[in-house]
Amino acid sequence: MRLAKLSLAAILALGVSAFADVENVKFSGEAKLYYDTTDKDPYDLFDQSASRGQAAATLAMSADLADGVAGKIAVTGLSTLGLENNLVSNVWAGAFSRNGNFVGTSSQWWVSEAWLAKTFGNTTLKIGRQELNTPLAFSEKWNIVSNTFDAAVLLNNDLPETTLVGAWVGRGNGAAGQVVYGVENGTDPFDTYAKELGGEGAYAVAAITKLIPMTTAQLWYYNVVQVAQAWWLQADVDLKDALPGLGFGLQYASIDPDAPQADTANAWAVKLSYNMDGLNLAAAYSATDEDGAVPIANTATGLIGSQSKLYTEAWWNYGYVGLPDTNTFMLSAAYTLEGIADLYAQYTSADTGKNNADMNEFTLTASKSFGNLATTLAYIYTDADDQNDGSSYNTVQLYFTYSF
Amino acid sequence: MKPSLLLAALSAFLIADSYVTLDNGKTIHLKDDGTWEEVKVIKKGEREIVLRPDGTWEEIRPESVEGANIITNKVDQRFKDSPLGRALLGHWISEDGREELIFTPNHAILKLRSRNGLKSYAGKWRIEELDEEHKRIKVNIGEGARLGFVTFGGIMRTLRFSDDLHTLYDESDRLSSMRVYRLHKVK
Repeated sequence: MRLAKLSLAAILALGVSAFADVENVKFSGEAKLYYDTTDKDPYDLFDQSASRGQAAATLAMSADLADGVAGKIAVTGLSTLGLENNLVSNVWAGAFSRNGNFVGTSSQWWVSEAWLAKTFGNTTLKIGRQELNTPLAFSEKWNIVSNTFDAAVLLNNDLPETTLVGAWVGRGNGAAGQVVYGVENGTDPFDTYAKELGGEGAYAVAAITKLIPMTTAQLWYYNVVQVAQAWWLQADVDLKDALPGLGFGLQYASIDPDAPQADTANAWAVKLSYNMDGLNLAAAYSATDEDGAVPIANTATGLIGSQSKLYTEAWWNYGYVGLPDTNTFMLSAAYTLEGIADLYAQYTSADTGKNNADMNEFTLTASKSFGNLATTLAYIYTDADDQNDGSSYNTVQLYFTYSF
Repeated sequence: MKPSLLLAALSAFLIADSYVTLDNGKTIHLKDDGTWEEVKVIKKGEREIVLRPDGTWEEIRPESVEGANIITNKVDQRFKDSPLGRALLGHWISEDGREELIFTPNHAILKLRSRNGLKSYAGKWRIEELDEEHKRIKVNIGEGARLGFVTFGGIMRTLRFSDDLHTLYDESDRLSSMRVYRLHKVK
C-alpha cells in the first residue's frame, strides 16, 4: 500500500502543485451573539417577552485565482441556540420567510456571498452575490446579518482622482425590519430586486471624484426598473485649511416613482464634523419634501424601517428621517478612551410633520475589543409617537462579535 | 549501516537528554527514545532541577536548557525587512478614526469602527505580497494556521503607501464599499 505511506506533507505538496495558479486562499469567519431588551409597556427590562436574542456565524473562503481573478464564497447561518426557551421571545433577523411564515426559531443558512472579480488595467469587474454600499441600495450592517445582492459592478479609475461605477442589481434578500428574509425549508431567500414594488431589477451609474480640492464628490443615478428613478448627490469637504479636523458635508437625494400619481420625494442634508485626538464630533440637519411618495432610504430593504444614508440617520430607530415632511437634527460624539473603551453618544430628533410619528432618540454605547472578540454595550432612550402608545422606553443591547 | 539508520542514530545522539524552552515559555524534555514530555524547571540556589510529570526529579546543568529556534518564513522576513515592510511598523489611524492599524515586528492589531460597533483582529502578521514599484503591500493579520498557500483565520488587507511613506491607503474595501481609507502614522 504505497498510497498509505504518503505523508501529510506529501499530500499537501501534491495539492499545491495541482492548484499552482491559486494563491492566498483564506478560510475565515465571524461568530456573533446579539441580545436586546426593552421596558416597553407592560414589560420590564430583561423580561423574556420584551427581549430578543440570536446567534449568527459566517464562514468564508477567499482566494486569488489564475489570471488575476479573485473570488470569495461565504455561507451565513442563523440560530437562536434555544434562547427562546428561557431568555428571549423574538429574533434579530430572518424572522419571516418570503411566504410570510415565521421561521425565526429554525436554524437556517444560505450562501451570502459568491463572487468573482477580474481587474483589467484600471477597470475591475465584480460579478456574483455580494455586498453593496451605494447611497440608495446597500447592505445594512446594523443587524446580526447583512442583506446581499446578485449583481455585477464595474469600477474604472482611468480618470485621475475619479472612480466611475456602473452596476446592475438583479436580485437581493433584503427585507423590511428584519434586514433579510428567513430561509424556509431550504428555499432560496433571494428574489428579483424590488419585486414587492413591481420591480424588475435595477441599474446604477456613478462618479466619485476628488478632483475638486479638499472635496470628495459623488453623483449617483439609479433606474429601478418599473419602480422609480433616483439621484443622489453628495459632497464632503475637508476644511482642515480653516481648522485641522473640520469637515463639512452636503447631500441631496431625489426618488421619482414611475407610478403617475406618486409625487417625487426629495431630501437634503448638511453636516459639520470635527475630529481631534480620538474625539469626533458631528452635527447634522436634514429636511424632506412634504409630498414625497416614498422615504429617502435604502431601497433594498422595503419601504418601512429601512436605514438611510442621510447624515441625520438615528443610531437605532430607522425609518423616520427619510419620511416625507420630516425635519431632523442629529448630534453625535465619539471618543476613544485609550486602553479602556470606545465611547459613542448620539441624539436624534425627527419632526415627522403630517406623519404624526415624531421621534426622539438618545443612544450611548461603549465598545471594547479583547483580541479578536469585539463587544458593545448600548443604551437607547426612545420617545416616538408611533411606538409604545407614545410613551418613552429604554433599550439595552449587548453585541458580541468574534472574528476568526 | 544504512544511511537512514545512521541519520536516525546521529539525530538521537544530538538530542539525547536535551531540554528546550519553547516560545510559549514551556519547557520540554526531548527523550532519546524519540518521545517528549513537558517538564518544569526550578532553581534552587545555584542548582537547576527538572520536575517530571511522573513525580521524579533530576538536577541538570544550566546550559542543558536551550531556547527553541522559531523557524520563520524567509520570504516573509525578507518582505518585513524591506523599506515598505519597515515603514509599516507603527500606529496608523484613519482621518475619521474608523480604522486603526498597529504593527510591531511580531504582532498586529486591526480595529474597524462603525456607528454600529467594532470589529477587531489581532495576532501575528505577515506580508503576502509586496510591490515596491507601486508601493503596494498585502498583509495577513491574525491568521490562526497555515497549510501551504491555505490560511485559516484572520484578515487580508491590501495597503498602498504614499510616495513619502507617511500616508497609508487601505484599499481592501474598494470593491465592496467603494471606500479607500487614508491613514496617518501617529506613533
